[in-house]
Amino acid sequence: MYLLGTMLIVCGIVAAALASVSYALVPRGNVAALTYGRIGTRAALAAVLAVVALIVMLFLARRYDVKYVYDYSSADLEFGFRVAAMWAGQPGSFVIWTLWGLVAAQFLIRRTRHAEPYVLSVFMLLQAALLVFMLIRNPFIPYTDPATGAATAPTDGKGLNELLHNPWMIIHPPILFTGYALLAVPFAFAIGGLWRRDYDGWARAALPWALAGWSFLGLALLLGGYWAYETLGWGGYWGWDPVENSSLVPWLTSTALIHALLIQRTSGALRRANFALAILTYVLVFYATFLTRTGVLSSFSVHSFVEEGLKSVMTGFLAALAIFSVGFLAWRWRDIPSRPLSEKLLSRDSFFVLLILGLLVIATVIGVGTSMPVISAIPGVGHTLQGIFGSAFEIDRGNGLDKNAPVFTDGRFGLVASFYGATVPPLALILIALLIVGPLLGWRDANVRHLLRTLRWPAVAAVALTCVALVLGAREPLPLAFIGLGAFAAGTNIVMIVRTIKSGWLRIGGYLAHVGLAVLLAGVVGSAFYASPDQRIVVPQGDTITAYGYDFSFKEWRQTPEGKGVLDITVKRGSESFNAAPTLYYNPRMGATMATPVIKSELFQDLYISPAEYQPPEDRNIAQLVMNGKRAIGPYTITFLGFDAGQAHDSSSGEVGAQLRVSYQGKDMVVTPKMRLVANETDPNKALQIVPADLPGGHTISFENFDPIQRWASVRVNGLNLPVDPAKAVVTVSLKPGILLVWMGVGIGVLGGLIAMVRRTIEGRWQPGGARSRLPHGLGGLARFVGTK
Amino acid sequence: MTTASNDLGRRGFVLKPVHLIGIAIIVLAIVLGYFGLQTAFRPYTTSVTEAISTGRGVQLAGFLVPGEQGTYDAAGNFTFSMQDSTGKIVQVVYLKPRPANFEKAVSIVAIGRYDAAKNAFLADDMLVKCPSKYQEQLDQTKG
Repeated sequence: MYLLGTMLIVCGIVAAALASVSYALVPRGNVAALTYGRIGTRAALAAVLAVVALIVMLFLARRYDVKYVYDYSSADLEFGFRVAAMWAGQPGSFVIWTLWGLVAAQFLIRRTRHAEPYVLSVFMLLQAALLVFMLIRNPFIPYTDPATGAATAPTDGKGLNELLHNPWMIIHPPILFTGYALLAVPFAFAIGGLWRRDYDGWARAALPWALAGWSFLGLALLLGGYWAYETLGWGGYWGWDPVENSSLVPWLTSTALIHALLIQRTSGALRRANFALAILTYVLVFYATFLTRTGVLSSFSVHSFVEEGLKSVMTGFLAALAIFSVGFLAWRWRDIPSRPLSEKLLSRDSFFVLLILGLLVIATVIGVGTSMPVISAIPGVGHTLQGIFGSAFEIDRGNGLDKNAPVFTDGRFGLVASFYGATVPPLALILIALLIVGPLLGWRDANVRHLLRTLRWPAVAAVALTCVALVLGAREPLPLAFIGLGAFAAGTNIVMIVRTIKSGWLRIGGYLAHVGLAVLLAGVVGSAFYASPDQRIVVPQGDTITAYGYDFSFKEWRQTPEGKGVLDITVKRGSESFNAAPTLYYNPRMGATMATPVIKSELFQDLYISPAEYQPPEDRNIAQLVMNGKRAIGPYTITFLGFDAGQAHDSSSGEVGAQLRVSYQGKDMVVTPKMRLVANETDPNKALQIVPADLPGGHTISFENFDPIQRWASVRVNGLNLPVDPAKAVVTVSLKPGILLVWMGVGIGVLGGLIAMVRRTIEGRWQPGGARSRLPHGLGGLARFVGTK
Repeated sequence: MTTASNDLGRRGFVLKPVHLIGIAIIVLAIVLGYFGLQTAFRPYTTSVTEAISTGRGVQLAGFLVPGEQGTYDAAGNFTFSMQDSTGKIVQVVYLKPRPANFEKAVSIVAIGRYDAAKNAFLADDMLVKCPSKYQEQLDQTKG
């Protein structure tokens, strides 16, 4: 299998490289090469499909002699997960990424017309690079015995990581990589455009691809957030973790790209900016992979980043990609004609430019913040930056820090999530403000009177919603501003939807995406500013504890057949009651205890119950003591001095005793309760005899259990009859308002993006004689989109 | 509409309202970034001594003291002792619920700062690294 699989990957690389080189020859007049380019593109897809089929087959056939299958699968996995396990590891994710890229490539053949050789030459080169990464992290490497180094076939695999054993795992990675793969298309169009000196045509052709990539990346961010919220028990959907940030940044720049492409489409302005944005977005997609896959952030992120053996190759490719594409743009810079934007402030031109600037500023803030550990790891840079920061301000919030204190030995540093909380929301507010007026403006100019008249009803809605928020108890200026401006923006865009839907549903995509953003914002405000703090409650078995108006009663702790521990908790509010069973279990693959929360979703708020611990019942008559450990049982303070393997009275039995110092009413004494093992005794109850020792005060102490290796002894005082503490469930409870709105908002936004993509695809199709294509009404649009050119 | 004094010297460049708003956005970002940095800046250190001697918030990387299980202190916070590679020990108080994978931790990065009054390192956040991950890492550097 190793040989066959590797051969297939090499075939893919050769085919992709052949396509790239052949296409590159076409502009030099070698028309015959076009055929080879197309064949190469098709063949590369065929090769990758074969690779996918082979991996799926290996997973389904349980071929644990292949290391990748061994690492990520096991016999007890369900069918769906046995297939999905193929993208659980790094090689598999490159396979999926390349697969989508090559599928997209098939749609570029012929349809891109004159640009085809240029665009596909660039695009296939990228696919070849991804295939090289796949070859380096070859998924077909046979399993070798770690001890002997010989190839063997284990009977079972290590199994899929529990965190990935989840329905979201089946859909999230493929969608994320669809987004990544699609965002390579605008990049290829941009480089192709620079190459051809076609500075306008590429922008029209790239727009639907940018919209598709934007939608899929947005959907992937949503699914990732939902996964984190629902399964991983992080308590939230967004933690400003490097993994999340690094995908958010290219999403922000692709949003900027889409708007800039729209300007170029209408007025021909922003040509240079569009090249820069398309290049930037794809470089950032790769940078995200670099950050999350090379282990550079391993000391700074909750995600377990592991160095996966690609660091030098990926760093090299990233640098080459950035230097080549930026250099190419710089080379062509003066050749690109520029057109002026509208002079008027109240025009879409100006608002779009401000929006693009705002998005780039936010992307910069998040990108630089996330990259701080990498930037500061460059020798010298970290220490210098720390020195500058140290002299610029008191980093310790005024704890008497010496300003001249030496910088830290390890020059690296990172930023905690509060950095993004302090910077991003106010900047996002500016974008929302732009969203209120922007959609109503004409591209070059606007009639102020009409504008104000249209804004009346959205303004009323905004004031009304702000009042509602005030009544509900919102007081801080930032969330109030978000609610007010967000409602205003939603109102404007709904007005625009109502106006445009008459001329066809295909035209509402952009406005719908804006409404989605406003809904998302409402959810974010609710969950970020008004989530109740995590309340840790300890519920004794059979008891009821109240938190946030809910009554929690703990029934029992049980084990599922798979060995997961379940806290059986009944939650009650008023007459409504439901059963919550959060699970806690040890995950040997992660070497960790995993906690799966229970979420009770309602329209406006989620009740989030995260299991923390199960405390087994504790008998207060018993003390487990390590050597020289001291514990009190009732009035006695007992110290364990050591084991006493005293000589038995007769040779037929053995004894072990625990030497204890007992303090009682200020007096100390040493007692040695014993365990006696009687030889030749057939009755097991008599074979092991517990020999208690007398204590002052009329009680006895017995030695019940011990571990000679860990050197602990367990003793019980008889006769005190102290109570047995019941088992306890420890859970953290919180209320999270607006979560549902977050999911809905992203969903609406993605739908808007997809509608816009359909529209721009139809519009972008070549028409004889340069005629403008008319947008069909009704569902005819979908038929036109799906149908032939 | 514009006067010569608005001209920044580049031919044809006139400072328009849209430019002013743009500059305002950038300035706002820089100001917010400055204040954000002040509270969010966390130097990385592998030395307990360094973490104690500074009053700053840091990311302290270290190991569990062997046999450490962690307990809850009087205030109900999870607490445990941690040491660095020189063997210097510091008590860590974690201000969140006990991390799920704590018992298997091989190395820990505690994010927070040392409180001299409480004689403990108050951690707001913690990265817990587990042996299986290390195993995987070792496997891969070998292969």
